[in-house]
Amino acid sequence: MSVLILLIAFSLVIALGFLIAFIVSVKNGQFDDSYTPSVRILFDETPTDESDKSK
Amino acid sequence: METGKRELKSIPKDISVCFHCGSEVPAKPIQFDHHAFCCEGCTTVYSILKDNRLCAYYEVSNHPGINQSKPLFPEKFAYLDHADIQQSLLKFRSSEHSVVDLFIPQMHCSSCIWLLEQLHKMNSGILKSQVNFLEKNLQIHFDEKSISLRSLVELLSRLGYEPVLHAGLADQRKQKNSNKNLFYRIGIAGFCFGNIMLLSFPDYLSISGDSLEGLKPVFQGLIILLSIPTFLIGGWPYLNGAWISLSQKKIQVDVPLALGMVVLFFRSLYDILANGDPGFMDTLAGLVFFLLAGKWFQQVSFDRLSFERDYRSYFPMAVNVVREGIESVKTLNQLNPGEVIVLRNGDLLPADALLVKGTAFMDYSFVTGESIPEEKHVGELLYAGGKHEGSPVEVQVLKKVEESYLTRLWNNEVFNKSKEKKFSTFSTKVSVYFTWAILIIALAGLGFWLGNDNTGKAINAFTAVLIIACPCALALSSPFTLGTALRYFAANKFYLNNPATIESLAACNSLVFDKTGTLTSPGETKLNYSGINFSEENKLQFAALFYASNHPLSKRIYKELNLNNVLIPINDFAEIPGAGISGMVGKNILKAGKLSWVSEQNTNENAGHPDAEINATQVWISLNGKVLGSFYLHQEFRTGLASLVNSLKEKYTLFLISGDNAFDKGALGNIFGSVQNLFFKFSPHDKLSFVESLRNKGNKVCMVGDGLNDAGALKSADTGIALTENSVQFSPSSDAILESSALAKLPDFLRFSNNAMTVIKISFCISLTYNIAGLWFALQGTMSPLFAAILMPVSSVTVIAWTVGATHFMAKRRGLK
Repeated sequence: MSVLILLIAFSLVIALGFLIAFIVSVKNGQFDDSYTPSVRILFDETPTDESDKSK
Repeated sequence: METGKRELKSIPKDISVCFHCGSEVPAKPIQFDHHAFCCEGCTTVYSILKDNRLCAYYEVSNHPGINQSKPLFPEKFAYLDHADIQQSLLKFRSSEHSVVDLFIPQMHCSSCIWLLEQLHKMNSGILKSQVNFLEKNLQIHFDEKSISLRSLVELLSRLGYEPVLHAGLADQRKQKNSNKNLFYRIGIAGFCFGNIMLLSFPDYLSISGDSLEGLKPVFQGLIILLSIPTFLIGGWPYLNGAWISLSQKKIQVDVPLALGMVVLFFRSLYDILANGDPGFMDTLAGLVFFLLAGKWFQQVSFDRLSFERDYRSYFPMAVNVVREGIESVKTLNQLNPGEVIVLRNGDLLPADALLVKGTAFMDYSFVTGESIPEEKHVGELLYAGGKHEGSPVEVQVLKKVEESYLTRLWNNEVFNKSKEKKFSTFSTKVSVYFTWAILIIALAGLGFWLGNDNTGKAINAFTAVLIIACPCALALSSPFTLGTALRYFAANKFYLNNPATIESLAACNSLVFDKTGTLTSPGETKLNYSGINFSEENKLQFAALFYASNHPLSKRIYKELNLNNVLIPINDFAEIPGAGISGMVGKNILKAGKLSWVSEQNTNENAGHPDAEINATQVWISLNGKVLGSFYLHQEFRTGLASLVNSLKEKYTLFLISGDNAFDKGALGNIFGSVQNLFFKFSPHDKLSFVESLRNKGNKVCMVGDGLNDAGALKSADTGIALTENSVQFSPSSDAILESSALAKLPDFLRFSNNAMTVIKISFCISLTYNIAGLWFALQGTMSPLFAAILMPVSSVTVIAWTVGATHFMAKRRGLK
């Protein structure tokens, strides 16, 4: 049954990884603003640079 | 080439509206670069954007700009060069990198976000800019060597995004840490909860056997390891809260919760370590996780709204002081009596002062909600809080900012008391009885088994009672009901500062209204005329007289009189400040202004004139010495006022307190049914003491007001509702902000608050039923960990489902959905 201990250890490590990822994302402010990023992602990337080239 | 094509396709060619701001263009629009603009300002913004190749602004959404027809005064932001002010505004400052947070309520669409985040393309000194749209906040990272704070703000203002800067900014730094801490706690508690449940599985399924014997210590060791952060980190807010309330010798809902948690933790620790029994750690972790989730659900925050504003949020950051003809910038704290300051169009007067130069038109709408400016002349006293309109004037400061007539209101003790201390919530009241009841039951159980010489069972029963009676359902019902209710209120433009406000709304029995700006709508003034009718010809002659004057009232009356723009020449025009205007048209002598000015008879006779001096904004007219009548501006009552008052009248005692004269007393008396509860000529201090006295008589008072003069009354009332035309606008500090368009729904809001409290009370009964069932087993000393692990989540989930479901249903019934 020692394989069970190994599996438990793995599952804990993975879960801990997710917990750390969550804490880091909170710390980086990903939960501060729940609206603006949803708009920002729809902008074309730097449309001005493109029009620079065309001129 | 490709992008060029796209540009042609997506930019609308609608020429009847301004390309920049979308407002209607005049008959001869300004043509620039094949686009039509409504004003020079909009054209300038377009050319700035074009120069910086940022025209994609117009592609993200149509006509995204902000109307620029009001020109900026060039020295407006000179105060931003002042070192103290920079220090108070900058969030971070080093030699090459500074950070500032600016509040920009004008941002309204995705184009705004796009443009404000492209600022670095317009000036190399701007390193990065980031928008938080919900908070209407723009964070700018910049290099002070290449661009000063002042030029940064000026750049934004030229684009139409003028940040709101006021004297209260420095202490308004929001603390977002508490919110982050809650997320950390939920994350940790959730992680531990899941894993503890996983590790408790063998116990749930009663799996046993030789093969598992070796694993048991490992599992139990891990459970203990995981429960320590659950207890200490997740449970901290409750343990700490209980400690604080106990040290104040009070019992709040945190006390029985913390008691339950402590007993759960230590009894399980003992069970596991001493006996190798399963323990209740899964119940503990579940409890903590659900409680924290409830806390999170209840936190409906309205980031862009501020409920804690005082007068400093209205006042400028600095003023221009004149000494021997030279202007210099001074911050408000440095301003001393005796100094002379300049007020330009739109400037706010921060302290009581004496007018020494020019004619001022003071708009006290911030203070009273009255939007018609008052004319003031040299030597007259001006009160702080007024906004000057017109050409620059000089005033001599008489008092320090915090000692002025209006601002003295904030020295009253109600502004230092925190509201929570005045009001005990339902759950607080219940927890007192609840805590004592379970302690007595637990001790009775302990005594009973000790009497039967069964120490083991005695301890077992004692702890089991404290565990099973842990009022998690009680602690969950309030946050879930109130959180749901808060969301419904917000959807109907009624924003509450905190959930406890719903309870105080439900408890209230007296409603106090302000008049100006609250029951009247500030935008809609109506010009009325009373007196002898005059001929069409005379009408045009008076129009010519009013046309010659620059007084705001004259302009207003002219607009009303002369609809066809026919102009008649006028001779001998004279304007006497503080009295009125006069002129000759043909052979007629026309006069307008104060009654004493227009009539040639002595004033004693005029005093008997019907409706003399009914209103401060009254303009009398006379023709060849004969008084014809008067024009007066009158604010309209909000539509639906009568039905609002009618539906509130039955259940609540209604009062009206106004700073105005009793001009509207008759009309309001008809609406309110009697004039008994209508009070006029109340100063801000009177309003405050009126509400205090109502409260001292045992009434639960809800005050509805809008201006700074209501700030004291709003603060001292059990519930203060600030009415605003638009929620991003300024409103005085209050418990709730109500958009004026939703005022008619006030009776529904009040009824819904009552319903929410009923829902909470019923859910409390549901949770009591579970508790009593649990106590039956607990007292016999036979409660198993599995039983607790099932009962706790089942009772929590039923209570959550009931509260949320019932609140939704009630909202639908009240028409708030």
